[in-house]
Amino acid sequence: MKKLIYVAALFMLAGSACKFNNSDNKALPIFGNRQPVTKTVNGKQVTDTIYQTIPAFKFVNQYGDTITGKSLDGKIYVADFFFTTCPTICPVMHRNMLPVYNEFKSNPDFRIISHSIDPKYDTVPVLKKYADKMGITGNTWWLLHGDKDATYTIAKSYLTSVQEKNPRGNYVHDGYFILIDKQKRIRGTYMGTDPAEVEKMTADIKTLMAEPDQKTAK
Amino acid sequence: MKKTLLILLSCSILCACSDKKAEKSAIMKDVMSVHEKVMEVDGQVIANRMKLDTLIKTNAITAKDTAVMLSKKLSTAEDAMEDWMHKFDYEQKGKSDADVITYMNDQKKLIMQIDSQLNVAVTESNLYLKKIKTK
Repeated sequence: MKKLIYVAALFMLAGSACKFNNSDNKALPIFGNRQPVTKTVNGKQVTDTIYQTIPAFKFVNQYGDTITGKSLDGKIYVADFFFTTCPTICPVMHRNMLPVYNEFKSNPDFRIISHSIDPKYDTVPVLKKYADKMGITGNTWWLLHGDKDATYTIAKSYLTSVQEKNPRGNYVHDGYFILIDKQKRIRGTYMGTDPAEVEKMTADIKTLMAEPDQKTAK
Repeated sequence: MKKTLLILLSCSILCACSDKKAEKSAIMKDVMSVHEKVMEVDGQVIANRMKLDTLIKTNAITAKDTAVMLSKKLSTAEDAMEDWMHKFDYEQKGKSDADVITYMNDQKKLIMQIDSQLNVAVTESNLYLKKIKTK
């Protein structure tokens, strides 16, 4: 009888562990800086958390169209930093990004933005040629040209999350993909040169798309 | 006798070819790893140049001369790195192994020089940024 109770307890424990894992999978963590804000609601003090968001920006894409933070309103997106003459990690990163692009290109609520860190060379026509060579069409994947300092400034916001993950990795040229939600919060960082991490990112994008506040956000 | 000589000759040609292939692959890998290291320093160069430019633009410092000089030095190093990247041809299509080895060895020398230029600019600007008192 005792044995039976032990076995039943073991099954219950295993069951609850599985449930816990499932609920864990339903929402991605939120990265970046955060601030607790206390406000009074109906006479009661409530503490809320304000998460870091990606600040406003203005760049130009491979079609010569102006792209701002507003262009990404209501979109879940992945950001990265690259340059077209990069012989090492960038070709690997973008080869790994292609399956992500192909998987989500028909989803109007998804974007990929790749900021060039070499605007002197990567002009709009150069970015268009690069896009054509990669087979990028339409508006799912924007290759962005802009002021070098503005690119490095916005990179700092994206890379806070990378610093959390790896305090030594603070460089724009590290090859990270950063997943941003519709509220412009950082929801994941992935090593773009590692196919396994990019596969995890694809799964995480699906998880994020299924989160209730992402489904309803405009 | 003739046959043995022929076999020996073929073997030595094959060995020389595979040696060249290994040498080419090693030097290409070497240039790339130096490039990766230099890209990290380049990130620091840009960060320091932006810090100095902000100090100059916002009039946060009384004597701007040193800041202007250091910002220019960082910019020059940044430009040297960019120029190298634009001219560097990693693929070397249609070139013989020997030509690729010569090219990559020359490029390694060039990028090592740029690495020193970047490091000097970073060290000097780091020292300045540490001791500078803003208004």
